[in-house]
Amino acid sequence: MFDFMIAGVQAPIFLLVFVGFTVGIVGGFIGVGGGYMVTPALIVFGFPGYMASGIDMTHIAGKGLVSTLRHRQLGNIDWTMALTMVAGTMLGVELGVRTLVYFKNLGIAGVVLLVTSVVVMFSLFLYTQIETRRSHRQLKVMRTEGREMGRELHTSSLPKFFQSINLAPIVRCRTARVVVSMWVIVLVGVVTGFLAGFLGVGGGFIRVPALVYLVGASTHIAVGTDLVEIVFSGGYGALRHSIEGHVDMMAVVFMISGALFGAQIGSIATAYVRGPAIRYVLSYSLILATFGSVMRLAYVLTGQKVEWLSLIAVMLTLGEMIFLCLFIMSLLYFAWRNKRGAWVPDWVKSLVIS
Amino acid sequence: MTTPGTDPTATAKGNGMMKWWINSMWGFWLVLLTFSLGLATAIYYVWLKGNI
Repeated sequence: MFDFMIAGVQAPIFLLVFVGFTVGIVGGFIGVGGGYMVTPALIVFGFPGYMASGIDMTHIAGKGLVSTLRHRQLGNIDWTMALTMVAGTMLGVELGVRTLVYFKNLGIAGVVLLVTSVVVMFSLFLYTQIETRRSHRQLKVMRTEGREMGRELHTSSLPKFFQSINLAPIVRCRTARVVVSMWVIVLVGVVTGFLAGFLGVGGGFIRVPALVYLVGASTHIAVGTDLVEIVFSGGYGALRHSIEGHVDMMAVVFMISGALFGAQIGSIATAYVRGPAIRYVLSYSLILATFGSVMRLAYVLTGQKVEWLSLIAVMLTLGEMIFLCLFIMSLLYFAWRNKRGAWVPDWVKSLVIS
Repeated sequence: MTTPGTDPTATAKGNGMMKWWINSMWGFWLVLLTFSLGLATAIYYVWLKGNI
């Protein structure tokens, strides 16, 4: 039903639009491209791996642009930070790709990639989840005591350390209200770019926590600023893949038609929640992606013979998109109810802006 | 002897359970995750089974 051949694949059009829409919401809300969800999903739909990457990159560039424009309207982009970081990111991606080629020549790239992604994602999940729960508890206390709650609260002490590094030139990021050495932002770009290049992803899920916990930006600013990076990297990736003939525009059009709406909803939703709510969603995304990678790793280590491991990885990938989308929509719904003075769960009250 | 009418104990217990699922962040998380994985399984069996 409504399916026809795209890139030689009997593509389920409804699912392409659905994936575009759900990942659009998630991407606009937590500032990621969502390549780690979309590429496996497209492979499951029957697209060859190289085609999945090309279609994903092109759709990310378009969706990233929509989200960036919306976040710009919301005042969530610090251009000084974004443009300073781009230079570091480019260098980092190049180093990451070269390291990947080194491991590929040793014949262990697949396992090293999966192990690295599991370790990186799980570590980020753990830190983000622990810190966010601490912030959430603090917000609850502030609410009980009737104190003024801002849009952001994070309890990490790392930004203080990084902001105290007195290495010229010092950059004043006005929108983010951060004064920090330029080299710290460049270093964040290099490290996150390295991991992105090595793991073959856009790197938004690494950059957003890095901007919050190392540079000291608020979560909203980190999301908007990271989306600028995604437009650059997605645009370049889309161009490269198009030249190589890895992009089927028909599939991209269907995905973007869903993503355009999703990205708008996700971006606008950030205006109704506090920073910890965004970080919660980010950490859930990380833990589910970790489980997906663990299943894929187990599948590879068992000689790709245990089919149910691959099947669980597929379920987790699709389930993750639906779950994150529903969680964000629920937060938005609760924020609306809270504004009207209707009943909302206790844990939501300190996460949404009333 | 059981008499017709509402059983107050049962209602309170039922409300308590429901409240826990929604009022606790973990409960809400679990409900959404279960629903999402169920929907993912349905999508797989309806549209994708032949592709993998």
